[in-house]
Amino acid sequence: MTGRATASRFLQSVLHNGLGRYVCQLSRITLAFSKGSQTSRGVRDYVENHVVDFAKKHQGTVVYISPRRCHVPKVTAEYCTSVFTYSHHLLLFFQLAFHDAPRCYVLDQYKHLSHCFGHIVIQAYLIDQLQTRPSVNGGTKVVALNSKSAEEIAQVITLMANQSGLDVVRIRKPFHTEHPSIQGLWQPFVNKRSQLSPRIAEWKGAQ
Amino acid sequence: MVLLSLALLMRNRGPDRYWKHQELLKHARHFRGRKNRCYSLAIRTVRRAWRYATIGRHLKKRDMRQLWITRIAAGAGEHGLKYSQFITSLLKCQVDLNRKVLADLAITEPKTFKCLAALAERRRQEGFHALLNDKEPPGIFSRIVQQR
Repeated sequence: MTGRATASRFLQSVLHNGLGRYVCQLSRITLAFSKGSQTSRGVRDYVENHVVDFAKKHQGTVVYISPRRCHVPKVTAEYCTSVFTYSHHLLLFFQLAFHDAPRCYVLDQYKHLSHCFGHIVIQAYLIDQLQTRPSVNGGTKVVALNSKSAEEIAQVITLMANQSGLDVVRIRKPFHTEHPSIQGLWQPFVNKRSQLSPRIAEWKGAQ
Repeated sequence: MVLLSLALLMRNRGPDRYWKHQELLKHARHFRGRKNRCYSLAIRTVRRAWRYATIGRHLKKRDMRQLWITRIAAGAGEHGLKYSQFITSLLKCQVDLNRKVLADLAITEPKTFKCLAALAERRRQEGFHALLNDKEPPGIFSRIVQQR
């Protein structure tokens, strides 16, 4: 496990996220589970009782609930991460909350959730048929939730909501700064006397 | 009579040799030559690399400290002090900056480093006065240490 063979990155935040307002980087979260299988029991419990609270708490994240035939229930988190350096006058650019959040796209079976979002569209869709989806241009994380209890699932989903979407790899340095020097970097002539300085002292003395 | 030897010679060697090899080759992809592709060559080189990485973790700490010391010595030398005099005088002034921070200051904050060098020089002179002249009042910077 050498440093060069394994992936690594420098410490960074997405577009200086905490500097002004904190914007949640999680843009879309999809819960895929089975309606009948034993492994999805925890997920079904979570969907019935806890997912609405999560969606309310994270207004900028779109939550998709996708019941389908699958052995392994999963949560897929997609982030709006775009990592490139911005110069300082662009720091005021902030990430917009998504235009169609918060919304839960659910099947009829879970329509009892719809009264929580009275003004928001609840329709029976299969995920693949959705036309409009929030913009995502960053990383994706998939976590299997088979045989997890609702509390453990809540922990996993909270963790994903708090992450920035940047890769979980070795961080080369635990610090980062755009401006490492305030007084100016050392140069060979910084601590040397200038040839002009005796003349300047003379001139000041004359004054 | 059943002839078993031929049947016994056929062995199922295992289904996932390819993937086990790939797991190792991913650690060799940045090597030069055939040892980044061929498993038998790669396994030797990768083991070597891991051994060097383990040893290197201890060496890195030593090397970094040596580098910092070199840089501090260069910076202090610009202000007329030796490394040992600089460090001991700073310690006596209760300035507990470590070598990493001092080296970074010498590079990115030259004026601050100049002030630290001046402080060290002043404390050094006070030390000399305290040794040589008993009747002189104690120096400003040496006073801090006595009141501890």
